[in-house]
Amino acid sequence: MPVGDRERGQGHNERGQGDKERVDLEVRENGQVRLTIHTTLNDLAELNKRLAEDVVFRRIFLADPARILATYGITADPVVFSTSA
Amino acid sequence: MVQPSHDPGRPKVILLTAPRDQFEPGAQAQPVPRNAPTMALYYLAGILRAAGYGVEAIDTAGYRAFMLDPATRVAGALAIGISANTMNWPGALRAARAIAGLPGRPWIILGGLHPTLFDEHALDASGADFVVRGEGEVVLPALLDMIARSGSRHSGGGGGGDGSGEGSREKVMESAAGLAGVTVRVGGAITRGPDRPSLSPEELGAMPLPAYDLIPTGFYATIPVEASRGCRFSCGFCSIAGRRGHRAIPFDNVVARIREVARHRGRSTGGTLLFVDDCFTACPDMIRIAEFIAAEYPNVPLAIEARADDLLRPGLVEALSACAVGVVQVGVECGYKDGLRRVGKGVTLEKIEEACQRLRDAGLARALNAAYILGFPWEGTREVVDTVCFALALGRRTGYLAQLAKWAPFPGSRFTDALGLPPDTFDTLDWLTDEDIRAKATPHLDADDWRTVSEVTRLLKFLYSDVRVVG
Repeated sequence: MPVGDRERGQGHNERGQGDKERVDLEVRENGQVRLTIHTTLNDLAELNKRLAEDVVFRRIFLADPARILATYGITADPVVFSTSA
Repeated sequence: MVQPSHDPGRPKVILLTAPRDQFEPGAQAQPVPRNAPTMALYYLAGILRAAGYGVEAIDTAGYRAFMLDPATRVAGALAIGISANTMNWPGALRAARAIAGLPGRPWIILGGLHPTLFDEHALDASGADFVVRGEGEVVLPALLDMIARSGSRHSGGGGGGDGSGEGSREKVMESAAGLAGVTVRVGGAITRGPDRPSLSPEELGAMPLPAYDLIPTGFYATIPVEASRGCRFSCGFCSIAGRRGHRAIPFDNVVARIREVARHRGRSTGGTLLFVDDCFTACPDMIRIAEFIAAEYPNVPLAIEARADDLLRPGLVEALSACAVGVVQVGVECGYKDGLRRVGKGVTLEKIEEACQRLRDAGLARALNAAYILGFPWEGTREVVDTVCFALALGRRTGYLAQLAKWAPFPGSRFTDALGLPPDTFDTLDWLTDEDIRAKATPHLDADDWRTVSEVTRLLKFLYSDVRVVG
């Protein structure tokens, strides 16, 4: 899938923004796919908010980001996290 | 070096530079940048003093006090020179307008990057008499000497001047019209003298030392010094004056400057020598300069700008590591290959990584600031996020500070010129947040896209929470 495309019909137009609400981003590091994010902006914003406000949650997230991302409906595929923090 | 004493027979010249923040009398005080004083002001002060002029320097620290009572402050001065870049142009404009309306006012001379780019507009918008285009070291004293020889004083916008009369004033303007590097309005028409060639390295080296003694004590964190001007490259976003023309000051002159600035570094709060060079590491004598500093001033903190490819020159990082380098600012700009190509950066991602790792291995990781620009004219969310990810990932590998900043269309750059923004765009700082300009500058990133970038960046910052990031 072309990176940056915003799919229609994915049920992610809660705020009436249709395809603008969808976030599909591919992030590369050293020429390799590091992270592909398929999510909604709302989900991502909520995740970010909780990460900023909840120290315990942040610790849990950094221990296993892929699992937490999945609970927010965020597909990170393939995930090559390296959370040395 | 002992500066020549002022000849009381020669008139006084005021040199002024404004802070970035706009000044409204009576408005709540805004913070004044305290990082570094404006080098140009003290350079020109040294030159004018050596030519026998009495010089008063009013920099960002003294601007507000000056603006509270400009009439008293300029009384008796022959001329006031106002130096401006784009960020402090609104404050410079305000100062020039305030002085232009005073009876018996001094001649008003604008200089610096912004008036050079927009000389006609600068004259018309400010009421100033002259614009000195390009480097002012030779042109400004030549212009002042011409004015002084004429014996004429400016009669002032408010009338009631010193009686020298409009005819005499016009005569001065006409005489100035032929001077190289000077723009003046004569008889309603803009007249530009021929461009003056850039100063040669030897000319730069022969200039009097900056008047460091005029820098206010205890106000600025750093104290500036210069070893070169310009850059070998011409990146599309860059608006420095000396693109494609790096000029290194001869080594012996650099040594004299370093010795002089070191004598005055106690004036700064941090004692750091700030090399204001556009690209310090491009100096052919860079290693010798570093070795000199390491030998004579091993504990004096340094702040420099560097290009990644220069840092790969054999022995350069090693020489730097023997100094007390506090900051090495490296412009990376883009985190993907095509972006670097479009910018015209002249380096590859691989070279950037190698340079950063070399600094890390030399123990300079904490000093390294890697600067990235987000939102170039061709960029969409993918490109911006690629850059953010590269910035954070390389930060993890090398330990640097990642600086992320949105591209702002500063005038004078290739990318900004393509936008065709009118000169009065920059008379306030509103252009920095203007939605229409933003849409024109980054047509592939609307407000929703920026929100996406912002949220993804926040997430990435958590994923790379060990990396130091600003922006």
